[in-house]
Amino acid sequence: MKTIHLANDFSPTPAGRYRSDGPYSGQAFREDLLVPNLALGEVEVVMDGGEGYGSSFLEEAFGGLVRVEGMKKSRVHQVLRVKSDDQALIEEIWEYVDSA
Amino acid sequence: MKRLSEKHKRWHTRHTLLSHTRTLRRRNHRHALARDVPIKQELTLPQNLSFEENYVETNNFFTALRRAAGRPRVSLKIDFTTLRNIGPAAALVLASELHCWQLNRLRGIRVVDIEDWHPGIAILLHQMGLFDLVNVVNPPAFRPIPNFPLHFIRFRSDKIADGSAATRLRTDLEHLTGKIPSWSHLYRGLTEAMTNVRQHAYPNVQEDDAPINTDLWWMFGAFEEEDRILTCVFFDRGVGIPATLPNKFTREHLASFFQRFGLTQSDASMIEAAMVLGRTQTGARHQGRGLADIKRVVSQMPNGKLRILSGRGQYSYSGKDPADTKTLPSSIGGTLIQWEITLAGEQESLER
Repeated sequence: MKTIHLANDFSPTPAGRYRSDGPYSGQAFREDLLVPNLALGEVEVVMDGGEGYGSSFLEEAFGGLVRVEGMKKSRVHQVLRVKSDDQALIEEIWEYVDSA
Repeated sequence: MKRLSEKHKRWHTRHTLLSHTRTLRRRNHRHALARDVPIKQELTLPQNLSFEENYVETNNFFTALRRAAGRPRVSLKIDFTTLRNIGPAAALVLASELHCWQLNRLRGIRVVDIEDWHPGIAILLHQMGLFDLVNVVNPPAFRPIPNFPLHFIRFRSDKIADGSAATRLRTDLEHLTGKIPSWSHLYRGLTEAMTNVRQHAYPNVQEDDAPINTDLWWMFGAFEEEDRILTCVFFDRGVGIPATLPNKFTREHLASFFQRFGLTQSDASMIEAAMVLGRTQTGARHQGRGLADIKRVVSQMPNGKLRILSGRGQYSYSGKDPADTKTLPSSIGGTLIQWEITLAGEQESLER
């Protein structure tokens, strides 16, 4: 399984939904890191260590797997793991996937 | 008729030519004056520049400043000597207006009569970086006041959603406050506010009251030491939440909301609708949660208060519904978000 530390491998200060919003957007994370690694197998995303995550970033990054990339929700549940000390954050991310 | 001598003829011709030349020069000079000489205008700050305590005078000042800044050839002098109190929100709006003024002019804003300013005001404006931000031509020297209870943090401004700017704000604040627990909630609120500005605040529409239209946001922080009150303020000069909400929700959706809560349509109730409908909307489910993030800061951080001013509406929330809404006497000319958190209360609750 590939592990992505969001704060180290992408940015400790992610913000924004689309690339046009800023340099470390949810779209950039999904397209540049998440999707290429999911294509190779299971991925664990470690959320700890960042300053915080806005809903726009999270929804575009994770909900976008279903809504934009066309992945099935069941497939996302199979190949993606989300790790964080903040259980509410993990639940929020899965809510975005499941409601996409 | 007496004949003129040759000498007189030459004198007469030269005099006529000289007179004509002088006339032409005077006319050209008047035209040059009309073109180049700026119109001098002076604005005086109210004694109390505060949206909370003195909304009408404060907003009237900003409206006048915007109008003056938008006119060409205006040489603007602002009299700061009358200012005795400045609230954080008004301070940020002041910086944004002067910043926009500066972006559209080639000359720096001249600070005058600094020795007559209230010393506390001068220190606060210096701390917030107002003079650096607006490229003041003759920056004054400042003498710090020992044990001054209020501290302002430097402004930040940008066009994009830049999380690192929020991090720098935290770093500056924590020099004064110590570590801010639950900062991630504030970070979330600030970056969502930036994202909202990027996506919604500045459509390609020129506002009549805002002739200088720059697609920026501004933010800063303040700390009141005695009561340990941390204030973070975010502002944009965009079209405002009431104007953008009809683009996100159908008329029927909004009408249903107003009917359900027994509200009449106003800028204030539009802000409230934005806070509620963002969580429960149908249609574009994946969008509209940014305002919930902004509100969540107060829900998650004890002893917190949220105030949103947008258009002519004000929305106030202290962690428990229902929120309080109010119609303002005039539009604030954008959207202002203010979080106020009492750190002493939060630290006490952490110790329990």
